[in-house]
Parts: sequence; structure tokens; C-alpha cells
Amino acid sequence: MTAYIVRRLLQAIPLLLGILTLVFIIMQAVPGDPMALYMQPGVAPEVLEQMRQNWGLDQPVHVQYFRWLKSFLTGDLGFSLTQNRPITAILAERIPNTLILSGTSLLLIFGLGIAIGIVQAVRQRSLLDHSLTFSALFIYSMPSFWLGLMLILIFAYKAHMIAWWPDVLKFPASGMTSVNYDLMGGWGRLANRLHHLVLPSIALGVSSAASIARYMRSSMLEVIRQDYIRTARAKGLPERAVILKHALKNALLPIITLLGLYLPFLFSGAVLVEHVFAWPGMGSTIVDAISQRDYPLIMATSFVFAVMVVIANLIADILYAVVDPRIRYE
Amino acid sequence: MRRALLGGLGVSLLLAGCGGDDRAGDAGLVPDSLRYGGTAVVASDFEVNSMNHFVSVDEISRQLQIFVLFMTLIQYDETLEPVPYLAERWETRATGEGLTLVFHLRDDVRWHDGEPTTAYDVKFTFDRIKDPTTAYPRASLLALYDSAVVQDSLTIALYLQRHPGYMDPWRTITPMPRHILGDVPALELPHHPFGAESPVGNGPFRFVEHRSGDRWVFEANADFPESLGGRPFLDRLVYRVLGEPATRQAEFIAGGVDVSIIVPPGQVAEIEAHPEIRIISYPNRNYGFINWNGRRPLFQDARVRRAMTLAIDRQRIVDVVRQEFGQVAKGPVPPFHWAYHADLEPLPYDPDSARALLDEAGWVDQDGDGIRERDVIKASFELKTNPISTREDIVTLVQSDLAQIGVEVSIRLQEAESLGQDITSQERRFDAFMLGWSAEFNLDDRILFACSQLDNPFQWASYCNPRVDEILEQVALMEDRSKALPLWHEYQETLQWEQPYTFLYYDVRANAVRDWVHDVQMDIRGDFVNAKDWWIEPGSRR
Repeated sequence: MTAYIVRRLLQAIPLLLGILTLVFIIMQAVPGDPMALYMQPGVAPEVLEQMRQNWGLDQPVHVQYFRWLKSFLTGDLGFSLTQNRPITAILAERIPNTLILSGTSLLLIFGLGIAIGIVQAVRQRSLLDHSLTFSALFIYSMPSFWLGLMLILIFAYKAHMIAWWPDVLKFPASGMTSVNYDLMGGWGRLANRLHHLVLPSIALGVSSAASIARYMRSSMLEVIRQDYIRTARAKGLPERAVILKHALKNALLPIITLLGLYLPFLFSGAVLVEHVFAWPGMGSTIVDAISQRDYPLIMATSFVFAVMVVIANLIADILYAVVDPRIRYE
Repeated sequence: MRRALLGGLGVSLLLAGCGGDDRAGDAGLVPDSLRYGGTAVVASDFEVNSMNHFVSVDEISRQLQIFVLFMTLIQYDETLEPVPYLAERWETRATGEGLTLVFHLRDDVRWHDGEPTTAYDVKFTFDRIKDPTTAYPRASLLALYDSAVVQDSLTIALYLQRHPGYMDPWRTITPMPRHILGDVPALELPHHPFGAESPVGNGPFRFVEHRSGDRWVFEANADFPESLGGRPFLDRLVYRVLGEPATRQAEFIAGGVDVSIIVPPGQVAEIEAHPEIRIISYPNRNYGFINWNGRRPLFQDARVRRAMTLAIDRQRIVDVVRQEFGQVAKGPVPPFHWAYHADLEPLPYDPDSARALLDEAGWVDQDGDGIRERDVIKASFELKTNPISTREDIVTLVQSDLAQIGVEVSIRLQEAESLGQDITSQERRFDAFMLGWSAEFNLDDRILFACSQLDNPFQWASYCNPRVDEILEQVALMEDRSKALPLWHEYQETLQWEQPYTFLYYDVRANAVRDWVHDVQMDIRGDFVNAKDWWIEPGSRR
């Protein structure tokens, strides 16, 4: 297994380099200039030229590329041209925020999706099954940023206008913590954070949860028709044990491979959802970096996203081996 | 932060008993001692990246610097006359062609780390701004200043060429702490952690925390000089970045934000429906305009450009798109400026005259397709703007207005950065574009309209009129306003006749403030101009 993981990680290196090279080329091809921010009426053209030299932007593209690659490989991510801070400091601040958000969404996706899928399979063709299928398709066809805006409109805006609406269900529209977070006690802080997580993680995760539910339903239906399930039932096991102990583990197999597929979705969804909810994570960082042509920051954030996706896929493959003893990577 | 809780309850009950406009009157009864405390949350869509004055470029960070974290040497009062702030007094001495300006600094202002603020800080800041390697974004502020000499630790003499508005830079330049930044080479200033992680100011609020993409937190500076009002009433001032307008609106109406800076005109009506929120609006320094590329055959003739303006119903743009937060513009000198030409009538909406002008200029519809031509050139062009909803609406109205006079407009929405590159490039890769511009108090339009600037990034119109050059050169050095005024008027009349731009509207900014935040003043000087006097009703504090 270890050998497999090492091999996979080694294989990821050329992949990541390829991705970064591609991003670099595309970025250079896009019109615009990181200097635009500093092109102010009071700045002399010579000063701009000086800054351009300081940042190495006056060099030909291939020189810039190799220069960047060299400092990147030596672990120097450089400075953000717009935030004027070391990129490592920015990433250290932003990556955990994105992981918190997408981690919560991931739990929501799989927890909710699997639970709904089981219920649907067990109660196949019932009214419950049909209505869950209908709502799953309904939610699945919503873009996450639009869903986010609607959630804000209902739970962070209209809900505040209704006198009898319970306070717990009045959610904040934006940010990770309230402004008086620092003045709260330990439990208050935790509650405050969770409260801020609810809407964005739903916006980010619920449509994927809907599709997981679809997969789970069909996978479960397939499994519960197997002979060994019939055997389990014939033994007189309670239905609950049959489903949760015998059927679930096998039905989960195809679902776990989906983990690797959903993480990239989550990260790209986070780009929009973070913007809508003013969530200070990687998604909003990359959006700002792109719109201001902050080349070093674009490269660094793309790299982080690429690494996260590679690792997610690796985890999915490993999990696959864990749940299915027939699969061996040696 | 629930101090004075009991007293606070009493006051809030008192206030709750009355509504509407009476509130301000009753709020005046709250004694100063009960005004201290609470957090005010201000939100806008600008990401404020740096508190380092040498580096930052946007308007909100500048405002936070001059009104919140740092002090300027002088401030403007409501009539835009200089009043003492960090400098308690100043005097000037004429020296031949030049002028010596001597500032005497207050002796009771300290940096938030305890060091006194001295003339050496001012000198350091002056030298850094004058040093081209600093690339100070508004180095032209001090273009006519020559040198600075420290006379003693609280006195600094500045040598300059005489020019109008020579005090204006000191309203906006905040001296930076020499003891922290003095040894940092100019090239490393932008990256210094002072900007975003550990700024040390000397103003009414001190820095607490910055979370990028999220918030800046400031707290009251208890040591702020008593004679300048002492510590601010607020305990904390939080600036939040909320980029998505709908999110900001929801957060504001739900009460998570107390002050919303720049509310889009389309959202004002919804906000006003809430009785506990007020809109504070003021004419600011921005104007919206369409720039005609004077290198294009269609726009080389002033008659054609005038026809465009006559054919565009600008009042409708103000009424419909700006929701009356604006005023039809006449030229590049907005009403706040002392040289504003109040008697000049803006060009009317008059499509018939526009058609006549186009006919006269030789642009007629020969082939009957509804679009005018001259020789083989069609009166057809591309109008660019960046994707902001009000601007999209404006260019759409312009398109339909110009279709009425036989001019074909195709609209192109282009992302801000690449649009910026197209219009500032030497090749001027555009036909026309709609954007906004901000006029300074110390107005100098040479970069926009002078012949000498034709190759420079901001001479988008490629407009050249030697008489305009002459006027702009003269008023830049003319201190006597009564002598300069006729020249300023001639300038505005000339530009109205030649229309290098179609000046669309003077911007009126709408900010929204919750009623529990009192004594909020916002005007042409800025949104945070009296942030240290804001106070929150005791019952509404958090």
C-alpha cells in the first residue's frame, strides 16, 4: 500500500507541473496587466517602468516562467502584487477557511445523500420515494451561487422581518464570525462559527447531496436484491440490521469513488459561494487575484487547488481498497 | 461591552418613545458620558489591502488612513477651508518666486506604540513621497514642492513654488512613523508587514486586527488629545468587505452592518422602506462620462461629438438609472469646486438639432438603411464599458438614443482590467467608452485634455486645443481666484462646445446608516469624516 501511495504521489508531480504551466500560459495570454492598479494620474510612467522591472514583468514570457518555476521549486512563492503580503501568509490564512467550508459541505453531502438514498431504496416506489426524487432533481438543477443568494434572501433577510421566527434559524448573511466574536466565551464562539457555516455549506453541498442520494438509491436497490441479503433476512435478522450492517457496506462501494469526483466540484463551487457569502477563503482569493491579474497569487492558488484535487483522488482510491478487500494495489 | 447597561436602558426607552426626525433632537439630550461604547460596523465592496500610505491606492483605504488610523497635518472644514489638526498652526513666508510654509506640530500626539509624532516623521514622509522609487501613487500632489527642513522636533519648513491649493496635499497625506519605516528601503515598502499586518497609527483609532478579504478592526485610542475631542465615542470600528451587493443589503437590513457605504441606486428604495434606516447622500467628486476617441474619423469633428450629447437624454439617465442620485453634468468641473460654472446651461436633449449637426458635418443616410454615412464610412461604433449594472443600463439607453439620430452603436461589456489596458494603451483600442472619473479638490485637468499629454495613458480623447492648454497652464499657477475664475469659465465653455467627452452626470453618493448610530456626518470630504464623533444608542450596542 505504501509503495502504491508513493507511486501515486510521484505520478502527481508531472501532472501538477503540467497544470501550472498551462495556467501560466493562459494567464499570460489574457489581456490586462498587474500594473494597472498603480496606473494612477500621479504616477510618472518612469516609475511604472521601474516597478515593472522590480517585479520582473519586463522580461520575455519564457524567462518569467523559468524564473517563477525556479523560485517556486525552492519553496519561495513570492509576494502578492495586490495584497502586498507574502503569499505563504495569505495561503496560511485562507486555506483553513476553505477546508472548513468544504469539509462541512462534504459531511453534509455524504451524510445527507447516503441517508436519503437508503430511505428511498428501502421505501422504493412509495410516495416518500417519489417526492424525495422530485426534490433531489429540483435542488440538483440549481446553481450553487443562486441557491446561496436565495438562502440569504430567505434565512438571512426575510426571516429577520418575522417576529415569531426563532432566533436560531435567523442566519448571518456573510462572513465566518460575528464582529463581536472576540468578546464571546468558548461555547459562544463555537456556536457563532457553526451558525455562520450553515447557509454557505448548504449552498455549496446540497446539490451534490441530491446527486449522491440518486447514486445511493440505485446502488442500494441493486444490493438488496442479492442472495446474501435474502439469506440475512431468512436468518431472521431485523430489517434494520440487514440494511445497515449487510447491505450498506457493499452499497457504499461505488459511492466512495465519487468522493474523488466531488471534491473538485466542491472547490470550484467554493469560488462562487465564497464570493456570495463573503467567506474569506481560497475561492474568493483566486477570484480577486484573477480580476486584478495578480500573477504570483493566481499561480499559488491554482497550485493549492490542484494539490487538493490530487490528494482527494488519492484518498478516494485508498478508501476504495479499505472498503473492498478484493481490491489490492500491490 | 455592555457598560452603563442600566443607564443605557433608560435612554433607549426614552428614544423608543419618539420616531422619525425628532430622534436626532432627542439624541442630542444624551449626555456625552453615556455616548461611549459599542461597535460600529461599516461595510463596502472595496477590499482595503494596505494601511501603508505610501502604497495604497483606493479611496476607502485613504479615508481610513486620514480619518481613522492616522492624522493629517490639516483638515478641511465644511466650507473646505484648512483647519488645524496634527499641525496646530502654520505660517507662510514669500521668498521671491517661492514660498516657505512652516508647520508647527502639536506636542501631545503619540504613535500608538508610545513614540511621539514629530517633524522628523513629516520630513521622512515628504522625502519618501518625493523619491520616485517609492512610486507614491499621487506623487503629483507635491510636484511643486521642493524640499523640507526640520527646524526643531515640532517645526518643519517646506519650500515650494507658489501655486493655488498648496495646502491641499496636507489634507490627504498622513505622516508615517519614521521610527518604524525609516530604515526600510523604498523598494521594500510595499511588502513591509506594516501595511496589512501591523500598522501603527497616531489617529483617533488604533489598529487591532486585519483578516484579509474579511475585515479590519480598529479600537478607540484612549490617548487621543483632549483638545481634539479626546477618545472617540465608539469602542470599536469594524470595516467589512462585502463584495456581493445582495449579500451586503441583506446583512445591512438584518442588522449585522450599521453603515453601508455606496448603496447602488437601485437598492435605495428598498432600504428607505425600513423606518429604522436613513440614507445619507451627498454630491461627491465623481462624474460619469462617455469618451469619444478623437482619432476615429467619426469623432474628429466637434459637431459630431456635440450631436451625440444633444441626442442623449441625460436627464433620463439620472432619473431612471441613477434614481435621481445625480445631476446632469456640464463639464469636468463638478459643483463642489469653487470654479464651477453655475451659469452655464447644460446642453439640452434635442435630437432635432443633433440630426441637423450631423447633416451639416456631412454624415447623411445615403443608402436608406437608417444609418448615416460619410463617403464610405458608416456612423457606427462600439461603445465599451465594464460590467457594472448601472453602466450597462446607461450604455443601453445611449444605444437607443443614438439609433434615433441614425448612429449605430454596438455595446461591448469588457472586464475592467482588459478595458483599462485597451483605453490607456498608445494605440487607443476603442471607439468610445463609458466610465467614471474623480475630480480632485485641487483640480488639474492637464492629464485629460492637454496636447502635451497626447501620448500619456489618460488622454483618452486625443483632444488638443492650444487655447485649453494655455488656460490649464495658467490656472495651475494662478493663486488669485478672482483672476482665475474667468479662465476656468472659459475652459468649461470651450469644453462644452467641443465635447471631447459627453459629460453624463455628476455623481451623488448614497450611504445607508442605521438610526441607532448618531451624529454621522458624510460629505464631499469623505464618508468617515467625523467617525470619531459617531456614537451608538446604549440599548443597541454590541
